[in-house]
Amino acid sequence: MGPAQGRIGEVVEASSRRCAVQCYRLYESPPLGALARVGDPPVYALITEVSTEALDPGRPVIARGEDAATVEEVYRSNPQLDKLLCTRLRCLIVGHLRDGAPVAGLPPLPPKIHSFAHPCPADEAEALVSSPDFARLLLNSDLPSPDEVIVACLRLAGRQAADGQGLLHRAGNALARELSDQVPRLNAILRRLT
Amino acid sequence: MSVDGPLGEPLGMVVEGSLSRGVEVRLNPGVSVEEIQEGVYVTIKGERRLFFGMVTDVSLGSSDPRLAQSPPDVSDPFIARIVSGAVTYGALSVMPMLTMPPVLGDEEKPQPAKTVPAHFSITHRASQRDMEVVFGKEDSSRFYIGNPLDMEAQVCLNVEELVKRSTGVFGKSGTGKTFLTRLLLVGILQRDVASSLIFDMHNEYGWAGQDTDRNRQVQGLKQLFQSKVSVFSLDPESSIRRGSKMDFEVQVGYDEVEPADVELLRQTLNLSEVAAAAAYDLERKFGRKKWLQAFLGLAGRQEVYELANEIGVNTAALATLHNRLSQLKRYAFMKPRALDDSVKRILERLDQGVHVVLEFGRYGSNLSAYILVANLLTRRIHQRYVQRTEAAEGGSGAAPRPLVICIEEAHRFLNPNIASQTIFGDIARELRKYNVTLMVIDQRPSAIDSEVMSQIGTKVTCSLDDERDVDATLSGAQGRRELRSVLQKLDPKQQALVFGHAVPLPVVVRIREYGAGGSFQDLTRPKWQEGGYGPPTDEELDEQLKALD
Amino acid sequence: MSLNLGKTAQQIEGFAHSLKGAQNDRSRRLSEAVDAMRRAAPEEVRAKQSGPAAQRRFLYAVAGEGLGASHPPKSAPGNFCVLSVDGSHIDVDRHMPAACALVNIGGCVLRYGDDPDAYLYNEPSLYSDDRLYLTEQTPEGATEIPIEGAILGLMRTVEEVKALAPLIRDKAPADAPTLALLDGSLILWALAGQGYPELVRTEIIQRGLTPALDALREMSRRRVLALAAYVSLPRSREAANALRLHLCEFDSAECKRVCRPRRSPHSPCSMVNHLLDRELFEELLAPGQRSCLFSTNSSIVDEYGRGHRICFYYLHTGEEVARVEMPEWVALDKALLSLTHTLILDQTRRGMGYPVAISEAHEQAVIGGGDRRTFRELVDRSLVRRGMSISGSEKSRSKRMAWV
Ligand SMILES: Nc1ncnc2c1ncn2[C@@H]1O[C@H](COP(=O)(O)OP(=O)(O)OP(=O)(O)O)[C@@H](O)[C@H]1O
Ligand SMILES: [Mg+2]
Repeated sequence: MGPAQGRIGEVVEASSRRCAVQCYRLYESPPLGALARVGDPPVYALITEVSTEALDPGRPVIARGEDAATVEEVYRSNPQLDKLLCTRLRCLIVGHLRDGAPVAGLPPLPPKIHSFAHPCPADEAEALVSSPDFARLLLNSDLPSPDEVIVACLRLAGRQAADGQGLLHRAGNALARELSDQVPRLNAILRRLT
Repeated sequence: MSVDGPLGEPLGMVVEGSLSRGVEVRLNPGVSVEEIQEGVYVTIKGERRLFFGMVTDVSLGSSDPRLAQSPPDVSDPFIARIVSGAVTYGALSVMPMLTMPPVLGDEEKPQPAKTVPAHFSITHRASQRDMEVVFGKEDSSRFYIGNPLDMEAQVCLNVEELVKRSTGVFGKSGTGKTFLTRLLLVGILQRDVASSLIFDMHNEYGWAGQDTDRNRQVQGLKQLFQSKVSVFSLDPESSIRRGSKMDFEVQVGYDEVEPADVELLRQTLNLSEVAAAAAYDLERKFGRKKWLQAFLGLAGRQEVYELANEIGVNTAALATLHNRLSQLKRYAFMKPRALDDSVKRILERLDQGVHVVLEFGRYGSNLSAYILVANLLTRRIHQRYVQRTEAAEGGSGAAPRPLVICIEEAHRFLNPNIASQTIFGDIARELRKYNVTLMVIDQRPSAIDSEVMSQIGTKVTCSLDDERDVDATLSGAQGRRELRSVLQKLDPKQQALVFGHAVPLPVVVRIREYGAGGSFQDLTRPKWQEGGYGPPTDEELDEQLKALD
Repeated sequence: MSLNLGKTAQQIEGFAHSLKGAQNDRSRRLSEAVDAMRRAAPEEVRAKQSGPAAQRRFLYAVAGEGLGASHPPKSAPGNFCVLSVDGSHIDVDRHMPAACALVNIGGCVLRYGDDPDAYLYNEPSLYSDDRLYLTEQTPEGATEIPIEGAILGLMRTVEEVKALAPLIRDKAPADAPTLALLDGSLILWALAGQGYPELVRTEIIQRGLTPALDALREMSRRRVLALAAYVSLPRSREAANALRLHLCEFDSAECKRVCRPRRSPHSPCSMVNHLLDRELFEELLAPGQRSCLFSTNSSIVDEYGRGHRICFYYLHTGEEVARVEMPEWVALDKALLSLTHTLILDQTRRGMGYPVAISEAHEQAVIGGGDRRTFRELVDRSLVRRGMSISGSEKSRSKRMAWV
């Protein structure tokens, strides 16, 4: 019996700017840069970090595979690991629903703890990602490596969108406006989008 | 190319500027700098009014000063597309020159711009309509001289304004000065606003001209305008050889030469100041009108020495003078006394509204002959104009018809050493007081006296190489810095920067094809002139066909 | 007043000196004892351990074979299951506004083999009101004993054992050999010699542990199920005392008269003095080997009921020598005995020296410092919300904080 259809996990920390989601299953997380639709009213959260760590912060994870041939073997011979480790998503809150349409920007209220996180539908992701506010929000965030996240996000959105090229172009333009005085940085991002 | 309609293709928006420096226009992302050349016209839709201006510089800008050190991967079309426009952009420097009437087609005329368009005003490529509003349509006072760069619109010169002041046609050799001058003369002829006297040094204006590029002949003014043009010649042999229809053979009598003429020949004859000044002593000795014949009549060195002693002139100087002036004897047109009074004949023609081309024939290559004759004739014609103008002012008789005197190699008459003494210098300086203006054609404008240059009303300048020539041409012009860069980028042929009284603003013109499509109909029977001179006569057609052979 | 550190230091110096001498003596005795263990033949050992001669003032392990015997492990089955239950509790706090205690039972089921899986759980239960007392109505009147301190600890141990059977039933696959592991000793030492009233013993053993063990034995008849308890760093000397008995040159009565319960002043059995079982087996066992099987002659175990006598062996895990205890019904079944040996060894290997299942059950059960505070606050808050005074907590708070 798995989690309800397509559900990723639950919010375990939330503030206006960011939230953390704990995945229901170890290693079963959307990739970096994916958008999640969290809670009700929905808030859009961009996955900026995927981490797997001990559920109990007090218990360090130790190496176990010295004699194992494969990682799978390590997990097979230590079945408890599935329950002791958990995959968490650090998310940047990037948008919300206003008048029925997704808009980039911070929501009036953060999602509730234990709100469910679902993958964001492609059309909503597309609307968010190509908005100029989205680029600005990300670039001005205090993420340690916002560019990596941006690249991951746009590549993903580009692949999922009906008109991927158009999306990348709109998003690229938005980025260019923000990074017009940082060409090497802009270039590094754009290069990885094609 | 240009968009017909109220406004042309939008190019970008004004981001900064000043009246003295002009405004900066940032190009829209889709517009490539490569599509816009310097000298192109734009209209800027300000908050309150429409400005008309010229692109004086095209530049590339970037919002990142380090762009050059780490350029983006523009080989990737995606990156190139995004970077251009957002990070890199094209920019135009635009000199706002006119404010246009708020409603096109208004009676109001464009006015010189006294302010600049507000921030973010949208800049458009000037449309056909804009150009028409500014440069007017070809009509009874405006002559279609050519097209602005990049546009099919016409640039028209106000010919009435043109002839009111002196005109300069400059450009290095082969740039099209002669063709251009011929066009200007056509413009004057078409509108009949003045008569002209052309000192046709190289025999290019009267009957036919040489189109060296296409290696053919083009029709000269006589062929085009027949009875409206009279060809005078110093060298009938040459005229006959060239098949030129000559109306009058010009002879110059020794009695017509004055000591001042000798002064003018100092350079070409390589005379010292003392030697040139000796002519005045000779005149005193032998009397007006007689001195030259007497002087040249001296037989041998001894007589010259004796004369020198007699009139107290340095013997060596006088000997040199004698030696050099003796050259005149070799000129067939020089006679002890002319058979007919050429000046009178010329004046008659001019009074009738006929334009006179004086062909020099083989003497065109002899500067001394050219300078002597041009100066001599002009001086006397001018005298008559002065007299008649003053008489008209005094209430007796009509003022003479405006006259445009056309000289090639103008600096020979107008260089700073002699400009104050020659009749050409006088004409240039006195403006149109006596209804005479100059059309000076020169490849060395820097050699022309700056005071004269400053009196030139309209300058039509083809490509110039020499910095000094450029400076001389632009001295006194508004927006010199911008015009300078425009001027430096002219094509080496058939392109000119026109500025001054005959145009509302400086304009770069692709000079219209003289004899476009092998036909000269557009010159003789311009569209605006319904009927004009009527259909060509059989005779005219025959002549045209002959010229084409 | 502050301590006279000068005098204290002097005394510590002297003590350390004598300790050093004792240590040298001890290592000599240890090797002698190990030799003696090796030499102790099964018949001789058995002879001393039966009949009236077996009566001693010290507790010794009853061995079925030679004291020095050792057994290598068998190989583990392909599919098997190891599960464990552990507990943790918050004792009654006099400074709390209301008397209550919390027992948290945590467990884990680990499946190895073709279909590996893990199940972890924990279940807290609050002891309050009637549940906080052991009560008995006798003709003389009602007896009431509060459940706290050591008794609460015993109750918790019973709860742990009780939790095993349902866990096995619900979460362990019936077709896989299963080992149920407990942390610590199966012998309720806390009951020994404390003079607890009969009620306590009845409640904890007859009504607690014994039925729980019965249930497990019942299950083990229908499936391959072994029960074992793992004692890490055991401090027991039962095996050493078996050697002492073996070496004793006195008869039972004489020994009782001249010898002391903890150490013998007489040679040769004095060589065993202060030696721990695990010290002996560290020498006797190679990594992976287990010792011979012993059974305890502790009187507490007598009350466990038939078949539940506790047996044990020592196991060299590679990291340490641990004591593995199990009821007789496991010990006497060769297959189950060897299953405990194999799987515990396997568990300690997977668990870096400690059985994984026990660690995980412990992690599930453990109540951390933060949780303990939270528990108190929860109690306080619930009472306050219902308008009850919590003045008692002031004192408790001041106790927890070191005021200056
Ligand atoms: N408007 C024009 N129409 C047709 N051809 C032209 C025109 N202008 C220039 N050309 C071409 O350029 C050639 C040179 O022009 P032109 O003789 O007028 O130059 P220039 O400046 O007078 O030279 P120079 O200084 O040697 O007298 C012409 O022979 C002709 O082939
Ligand atoms: Mg020429």
